[in-house]
Amino acid sequence: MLRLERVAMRYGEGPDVLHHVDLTLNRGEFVFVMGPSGAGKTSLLRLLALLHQPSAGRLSMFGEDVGRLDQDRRAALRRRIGLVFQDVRLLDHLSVSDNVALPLRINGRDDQQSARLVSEMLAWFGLGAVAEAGPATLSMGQRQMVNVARAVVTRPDLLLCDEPTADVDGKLERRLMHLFIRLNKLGTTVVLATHSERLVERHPHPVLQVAGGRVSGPAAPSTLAAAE
Amino acid sequence: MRRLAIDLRRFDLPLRQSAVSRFLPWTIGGLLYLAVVALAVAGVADEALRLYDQRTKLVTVTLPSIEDDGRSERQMAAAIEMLNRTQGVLSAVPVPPEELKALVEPWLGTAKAQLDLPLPRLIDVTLDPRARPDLPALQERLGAAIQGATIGVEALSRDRAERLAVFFRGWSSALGIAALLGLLALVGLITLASLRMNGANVELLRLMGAPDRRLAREFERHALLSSLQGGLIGFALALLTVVGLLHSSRRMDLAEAIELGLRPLDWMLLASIPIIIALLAMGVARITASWGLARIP
Repeated sequence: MLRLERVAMRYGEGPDVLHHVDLTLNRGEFVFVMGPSGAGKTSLLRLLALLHQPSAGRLSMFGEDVGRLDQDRRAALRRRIGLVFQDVRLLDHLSVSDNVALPLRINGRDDQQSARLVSEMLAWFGLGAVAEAGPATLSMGQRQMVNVARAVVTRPDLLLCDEPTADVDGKLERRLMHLFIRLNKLGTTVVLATHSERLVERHPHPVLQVAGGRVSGPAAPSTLAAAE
Repeated sequence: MRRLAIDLRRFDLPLRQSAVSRFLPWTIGGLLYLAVVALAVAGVADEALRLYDQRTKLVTVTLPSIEDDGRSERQMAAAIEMLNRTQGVLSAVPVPPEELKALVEPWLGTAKAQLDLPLPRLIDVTLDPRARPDLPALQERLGAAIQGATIGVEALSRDRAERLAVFFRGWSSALGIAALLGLLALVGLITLASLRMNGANVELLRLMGAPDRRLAREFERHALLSSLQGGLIGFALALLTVVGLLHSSRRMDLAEAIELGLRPLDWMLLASIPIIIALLAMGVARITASWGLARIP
């Protein structure tokens, strides 16, 4: 489903921030991405989100060579990806429900179906009461829930999460992890970048280690612990 | 219909919230007002010229009376020759003395008209209505060749009115077209500025799989709504101004008593301006947004 062969990536004309990445992820896999700050975790997720082109190597996703895709095909692939940002990016001029409905509208789902899915999603997060509120009125935790709800409402084939539990309390962290695992069981491939070793220990999924722009793994968490 | 109205106003990007975008309908309204008034003035001037063109342009040239018959004939011949050489003059015919006497009879009476009074000599000049010869220059040339030769005041007054109409038609058209081009340029610039201000939001929507075509359509719709909103207000105010101007022009004493106005076709063209401009603004916004988006990696 996702294959990187000797992939390198750089920002603009700068030096490579990822080097010779070889990685294969199959449908339904759940991997953590770990590594120190500035190691390249976010760059790897941005590459997988098709925000950047590889500067070298080959990236194929859903059976298509990303380097050969035109703009429309890339957009079509992105519609199969859900992305939870580290910095919560919501559109403040839209209500909470409109923010969550946005990927559905972009996917061309009809309004009735979208309304039902959004309503279910907001109810699951306990955000039903603020559905028509503006995101600016929400707490940080609520904003993160809207951010996640928007990423998963289309039930994407690939879910990329960048530190989704960094700024939330333990209760919400458990709730979010429960959601990601449930989606994964339904067939979504999940790539979750985190600093939290506790999170990795609690959820026994393979771990990709990123250091100095190089990616190793995936390794089982137990292997990782032994190496440390 | 209500659903359509809601969809038209629903934007994924916060285009209606930014200061530059809020300013757009008002600027469009102002420029459209200026353009419609200017083009209406040009239309009125054009209609005035058309009315003048429909009327035969007759000019009376007056040569002062002199005693010497031989000199008088030479002066008349020189004047006729000069007139015939002038561009736009169709014919120059001396008014026979009998006809001249008949002209003064209502004032002097039959008996006095038979007296050997020194009467000026007149030349009836027929001009090509579309040629618009330079009558003040002709007057100057005639005066230099024949002392005291003059062109009738009415002809000069009509000539001035025609020149004024030509001036207003030219400059008003230029001003109107410049305002419309400025309006379209402004739409392009504001689209680019909005695109720059919404860089992060554009990236967000792209990440969700929104193709650039869809994003460009947002700018296109925003330009259409702003143009319709500002344009219709500007047009309504311009219409009131034009009607007011036409109404007040009735008190003007124009040469040959022509009445200023607009033809039905002109009214239709003016009415179509807000719609045409809204469609053009939409196109400009779409092209500019597509161009700008192609430059955002």
